[in-house]
Amino acid sequence: MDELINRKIRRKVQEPQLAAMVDVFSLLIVFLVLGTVFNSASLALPEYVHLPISMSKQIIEVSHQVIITDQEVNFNFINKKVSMDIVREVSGDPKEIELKNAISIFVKQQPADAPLVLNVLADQQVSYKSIYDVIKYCRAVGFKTVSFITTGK
Amino acid sequence: MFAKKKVHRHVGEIPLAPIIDMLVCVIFFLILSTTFTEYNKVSLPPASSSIYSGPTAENPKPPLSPHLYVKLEDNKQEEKQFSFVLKWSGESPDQIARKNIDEQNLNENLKQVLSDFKARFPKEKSIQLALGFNVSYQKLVSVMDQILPIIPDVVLESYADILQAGL
Repeated sequence: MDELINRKIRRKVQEPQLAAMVDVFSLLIVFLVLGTVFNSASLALPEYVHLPISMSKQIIEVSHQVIITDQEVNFNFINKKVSMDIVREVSGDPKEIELKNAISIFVKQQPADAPLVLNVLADQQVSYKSIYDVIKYCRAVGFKTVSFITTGK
Repeated sequence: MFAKKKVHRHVGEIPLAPIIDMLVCVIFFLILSTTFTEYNKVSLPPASSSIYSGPTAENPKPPLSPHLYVKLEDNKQEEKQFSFVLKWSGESPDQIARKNIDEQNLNENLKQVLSDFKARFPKEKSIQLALGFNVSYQKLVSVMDQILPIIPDVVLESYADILQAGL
């Protein structure tokens, strides 16, 4: 009788299988990370460049880049950074001749059947004057197609 | 006696519940702090393949060659104001101008004028665009955003050509 009174009711507490859950979640994270598709066209943007916003839905292509500010132009594909005046005043300046030669050699090395596209990267506030002058210069030295790189709206 | 004695070793268990809590929190912050930037492009047609709508044997009419000039007004107001003019030649040369438009209303005005032009000349496929030297790159892209769905080919003109606009 005493035994019956003192008898403790033992309830079985159900414990979740945490170890298995952790395994499954870890695998899930690995699959999610591996399954993520990152755009192959990566852009190395300087901190001071805030791209303009556009409604365009055209996807960018990996191509040769030029970074424009109001003061200087960075021709990424030949690793040359020059002052904007060099591009504007095409007057036989030695630096300008050197730049033109470097770009011309680069252009000649490109396959003739592939279209030579130039991706323009510039800050939103850069003036039209700077943009136009660089595009004009680049077209004169061989780039036929120009794309303005923007961020989506 | 000694042989039957069981050795109870203390097995250290990893506290999994707080680890899971922490990992869930980390994932939450990682997702929240991730910024997805979508890059797009606005293309200019190749310089050598710009459409020339000049007179041909099949189409002897004079070319329409529309020009759009956009200028930033220098009227020292707090908000930027723009003026623009759309000019064309052809058989009946004409122009549509809008002056001193607020920056916010520029795109809407441009869209309206370009749509009217397209309705009048549905076959026209190219336009020449010139902006003032001090107009920002963002504005160039915004203007092209308005033009491209209506007229697919945009050819950039020099900022010096804006003097011809008569704005």
